Parts: sequence; structure tokens; C-alpha cells
Amino acid sequence: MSNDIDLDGHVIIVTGASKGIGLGITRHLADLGARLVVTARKPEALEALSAELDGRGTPHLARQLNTTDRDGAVALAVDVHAQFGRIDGLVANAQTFLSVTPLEEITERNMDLLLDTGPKGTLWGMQSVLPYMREQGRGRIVTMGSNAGINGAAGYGPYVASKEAIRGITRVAAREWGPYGVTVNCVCPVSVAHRAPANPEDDPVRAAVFAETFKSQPISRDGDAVHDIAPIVAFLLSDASQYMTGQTLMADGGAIMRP
Amino acid sequence: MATDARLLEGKTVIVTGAGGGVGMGIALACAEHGANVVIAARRTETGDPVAAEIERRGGRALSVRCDVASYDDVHAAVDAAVATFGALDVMVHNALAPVGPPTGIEDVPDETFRGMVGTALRASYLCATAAHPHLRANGGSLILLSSAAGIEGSPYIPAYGLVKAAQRGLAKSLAREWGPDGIRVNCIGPVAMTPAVEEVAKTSPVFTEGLLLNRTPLRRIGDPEADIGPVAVFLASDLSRYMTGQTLIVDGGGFLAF
Amino acid sequence: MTTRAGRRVVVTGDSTLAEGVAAGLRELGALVVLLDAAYETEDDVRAAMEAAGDALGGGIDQVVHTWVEAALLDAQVFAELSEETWAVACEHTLEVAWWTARQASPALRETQGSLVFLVPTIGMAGGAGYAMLAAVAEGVRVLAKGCGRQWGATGVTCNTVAVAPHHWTGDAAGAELTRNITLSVPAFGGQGDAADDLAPLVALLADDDAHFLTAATMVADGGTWMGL
Repeated sequence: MSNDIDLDGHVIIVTGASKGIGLGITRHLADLGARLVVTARKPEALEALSAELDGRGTPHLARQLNTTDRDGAVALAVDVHAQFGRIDGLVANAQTFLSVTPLEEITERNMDLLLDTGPKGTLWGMQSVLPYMREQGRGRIVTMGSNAGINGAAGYGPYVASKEAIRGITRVAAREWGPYGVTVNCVCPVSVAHRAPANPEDDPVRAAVFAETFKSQPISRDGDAVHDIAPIVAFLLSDASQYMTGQTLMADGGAIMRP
Repeated sequence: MATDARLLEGKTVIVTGAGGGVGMGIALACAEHGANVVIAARRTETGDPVAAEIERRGGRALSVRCDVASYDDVHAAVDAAVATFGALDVMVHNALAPVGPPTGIEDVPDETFRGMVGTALRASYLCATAAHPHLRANGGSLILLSSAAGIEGSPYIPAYGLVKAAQRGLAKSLAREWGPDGIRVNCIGPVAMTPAVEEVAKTSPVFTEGLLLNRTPLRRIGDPEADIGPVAVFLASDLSRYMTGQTLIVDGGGFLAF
Repeated sequence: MTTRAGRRVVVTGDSTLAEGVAAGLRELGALVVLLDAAYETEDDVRAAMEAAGDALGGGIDQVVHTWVEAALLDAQVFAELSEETWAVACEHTLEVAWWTARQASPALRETQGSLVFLVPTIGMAGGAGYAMLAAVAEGVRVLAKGCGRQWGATGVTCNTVAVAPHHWTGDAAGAELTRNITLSVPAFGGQGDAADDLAPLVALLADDDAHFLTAATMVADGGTWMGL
């Protein structure tokens, strides 16, 4: 029996791969021997990531891409298939963030930015890989929600709207694409290290809020992108999860236990 | 993690109700990933062959007779696991009494209700408490088999819905209470082709083909070893180290409304 | 279902929650029988329900079940819980809820009435130190969904109102339990008084206007937990 968690040689696209959770996922998948396609908005970050992957000996394709670029997503999928011959997985992780803003101050531009990069960007990525996955009779798509989305974190209106919309699209895609052998699931992480104050002494109030957040959850720490969040994503990309689709998996140390 | 990584290498797992169906599937999958597996079945006639199969495949297994509603039997199974393999890392409670034919709540026989209480509630308490000191020592995990019926209820098998839901409430609370002990607690809600489901499928193809398959995006009923087993392995392993208090629905995408 | 004046309601439970709900319903015009005993057998429950129906003048429009065994109200270290306590407290409480649903069914069918279970939100969110109470809460809530679906054709509704845990555990423990399931303060500043805040919602569930609401969970904790 082959190892059902094995991702060696799998061709996996990770969007928004150059920082935060996307970077953690990329590193973990590289450890697992996947062949990676990494996208990011900024060329410098992308180059740094590509250099790192070169250093690891990870076969990869790096593409500067904004998730709002639907044509770009299609072109990328064509190039990926041409280079690797297959597309096994997509981690639709890229998402613009908006710092804390009360709902009554949210502008149309704020909403457009979050919805364009989040649910729409996710959908364009999903559409781009579907034809190949359908032909293969197998595909794995992992979308990214958020613990904050489920909770409705105050101050994060457009972000929450984006993340919950992504969960909705995940379910519809699961229903429509299941017959093709494509599973679509959503991971809702909490991993805020890259947003916490780098030096707690510089911003003690905000540092205290971050610390308080984790005290009351069963696994009382922030999620490490490589060791805590990424393995859950890897599970959903593997054969081990072949009978799960349309699901939302919390990757948040038990902070939220959905009914 | 290398290509051939076996996720439960050297760990000891007890699976109740492992003489067939989902329990057997989970036991076999855990063994494939390197675990020592204790098959705790109500009758050794069903448990022994599963242990033998694991050994035939190169793994290590022990079969113990275990009535999951019995304090003595559950504690004996835990003791046997520790005595034989040196530790207990994962407790998977899967065994269940017959759910009985579909009926409204007013007509559920007492015996059916008692069976649900004993094998789902009493057994969860016994498995959790008996395993606790060992899980605590090793940063282990408890897995309870629940069901989508434990989320959405059932007008046809109401006692089943009740106990499957109670197990989830228990699991979430133990996840919170035992989190500081390093113990994770999660549930799985599977849909799989077990002997019981096969019976229903034989007598009611309308049920299987019509309702189940048309409602299931992945267009099949799960295989206990290939579809459910790996999810149990995931929850038992370090891959899910940041997940606790969760219920994973493994049903081919039929139930999404939660 | 009936108008509120003279509505015939059975409330079960021997706590301030039950008393508060009963008082609140009375203020809204209902005739209320409070069943505050601990029942040993299903026959006890049947007899009590029949007697309550008689006392209410020959019919029951709504049954509101809040009863739990006393040991569920105190924090317990689960790993140290005895088997007997588990059986007597957790299993028996679920058993009584099961019997109550079965024994309320005939009377409620006559009136196309309403069965309501009151549970703490920790059933859905988990509660350290209160695993038995959470198991009961969630078992009951999902039982109610099954009953709601099953009884649809008869016109009997069955719903759950999930409220803040302090109604069972007291304020201090309730605050701790709540703090662990949400970092937010209650939207309304408080988590609810049984008579003033919960009884009106319970009454609503027996109104004709609510005849199409069944198998539902209403979270009424002043906007504390929003996980549903």
C-alpha cells in the first residue's frame, strides 16, 4: 500500500507563497518533495523565495502574479502543465489584508480590494486548474479561510466577508467538481506571528492582546506556519483525505470548535 | 518528513470495535503507518483475525476481548496495551451497539436506547478515563467516532443522533480540559460501507443509489481502510498537532451544512 | 397553538433558571406547572406529565425542559470522575430528557404544541471542567433536531434555546467558561436573566407565529458566543 500522505513529486501551486502562511506551506511542501509553483505579487519577494527553493533543490516555477489577474492564472496553469505534465494540487492562499477598520468606515475600495483578491482570486485560480484535474480524474484544492472569519472578528469586516465567501465557494466547488475526482476543502488557520509586534516592548498593548488571544485556547500558542498549519494543508493535498470534500478544517489550536 | 514516512511509527493505538467495519479499517491503516495496534472487539472471533492480518502484513497487533461498556474490560485493554507495547499513545473509540431499524422516538425499544448509552456514552467515559494517564504521559490523543447525525440529528434513529452529539460535546470539553496536559481530542464522522450499511444497501438500493450516492459529490460510499483509516491516522499523528476539539466529516461531501 | 393568556405550560427543573423561566412565563399570562422532581423511571415522567396536564385543565401547550442532575452544576476534574457519578449525573440527565420528549409527545400532539430544551452554549463550544454538562447539552440539542424533523407532520415543534452557562454553573464558573469560548464581551452587556430575557423567547416559540420554526437552535446569551 502506497503511503497515502506521500506528496513526493506532486505538482502543487501555492499562491501568495512569499510570506506568512503561504511561505510556511511552501517550505513544508518542499520538505515533502513536491514540485512547486509559487506566486507572489512582489518580484523581490518572489526572487528571494525562488533562491531559497533553489538552495533546497526543489523543482519549481516562480511566477509574479496578482490573484486578481484571471488571464494570468489561466496562462500560469498552461505553463505549469507544459513544464510538469500535470497539476496535482492548488493552495489558493493569496489574499490582501486590511488592517483594523470599523465597518462604518469601510469604503467601496476596501471591499473591492478584499473581495477581488480573496474569493474572486481564489475562484480564478480554481478555474485555471480544473480542466487539468478533471482530465486526470484527480485533483486537490485547498482554499484558505480564517479563524477570524468564523468568529466575525470586529474590525475585520472586508477580510471576514472575503474568508466566508471563500468557504461558500469551497462548498459549491466540492459539490460540482466531486464527480470529477476533485476534492475542495478549506483550512481556517490562526497564525499571526508575522503580524504581531516584532518587539513586544515597542508595543506592549498590542503584544498583550496577542498573548491574551492564545491563553484561552486548548493549544495555547500561535500557529507555526510550517509545523502547525502546513501539515494540515498537506493532508488535504494527499490521498489520505480522498474521501473528504467541502469541509472546513480549523487550524487554530482548538480556539474555535464549530457546532 | 521523508517519502516513506510512517506517521505512527512506534506508537501504540487501541481501537474499539475493530473486528470489522470502520474500526477494522482504522486499525489496518494505523498498522500500515507503523503503529502497534490493540484490537478491542466484543468477540475474539472477530478481533483475532484482524490482529492476525496486521501481523501477516508485517505489523504488530494484539487482540483483546472488550465489552466497551465494562469498566473491567476497558481497563484491561489499556493495561494489556501498556504491558505488551510499553505505552499507550492513541485511544480510538469506535464500537457501537446496533442502532436498530428506523423508528420514531416514541417507539424506540428500551434495549436500543440502553445500547446507545452503554456503547457510546459509558464507553466514551471509560475509554477516556482509562487512557488518560497514558495519553498524558506521551502527549497522546483520543479519537471518538461520531457522525453527521450527531450534528444534524435524526428522525429515524433518534437515540443514535443523541449519543453521537453527546460524544461531540464531551470531546470538545475534554479538548479544552486536557489541552494543557498535551492531549488532543477529536471526532470523526464517517460514511463507509460496513456490514451494517451493506445490509441496508442490499435491501434498499433506492436508499443507496438514490439518496446516498446522488447526495455524495464523490459518488461512492467510503471504504473503511482506504477512506476512513487515513483520516484517523492523520488525527492520531503529529500532522494534526494544532487541531483539537474538531469533528472531521469523512463522507464524500454529502453533509456540508455546518 | 394558543394565545398567550391562559397558555398551559410545563417547565421542568429545580433551579433558579427553571423558576425564573416559570415566573417570566406566568407574567406573560401562562399557567405554569413546575416539575422540579428528579425522576427515576420513565413511568415517573409519564405520571408527572399526565398529572401536570390535569392540573392545567386538561391539556399542555408547551413543555420547557431545563432539568439536569445536580452534580452537573459543579466543576469536575474529568479524569477523577467516578463511573457512578458519570452514570447518575450525565447518563441519567440525558435519559430524563429522552423520556420527557417521549412523554410530552402525546399531549403536545393534541394541541400542536411546542417542546423547548434549554441548554448551555458550552454544548456547542466545549467547557473545561464541565464535560458532563456539555455532553448533555449537545445530546439534548441534537435530540431536539431529530424530534423537530420527526414531528413536523403533526404540527408539534421542537426547538432548543442555547443560553449562557452561568444559568447552570453560577456566575464565577460561567464567566470563566464564557471567557474561554469568546474574547468578546456580550453585545448587550449581560448574559441574560431567566424571567426577563429568556421567558419571552420561550413564549415566542409557542406562539402561532412560530409554527414554522422547528429543529432550530436559538442562541440567546446577549450576543456573547457567535459560533453557530
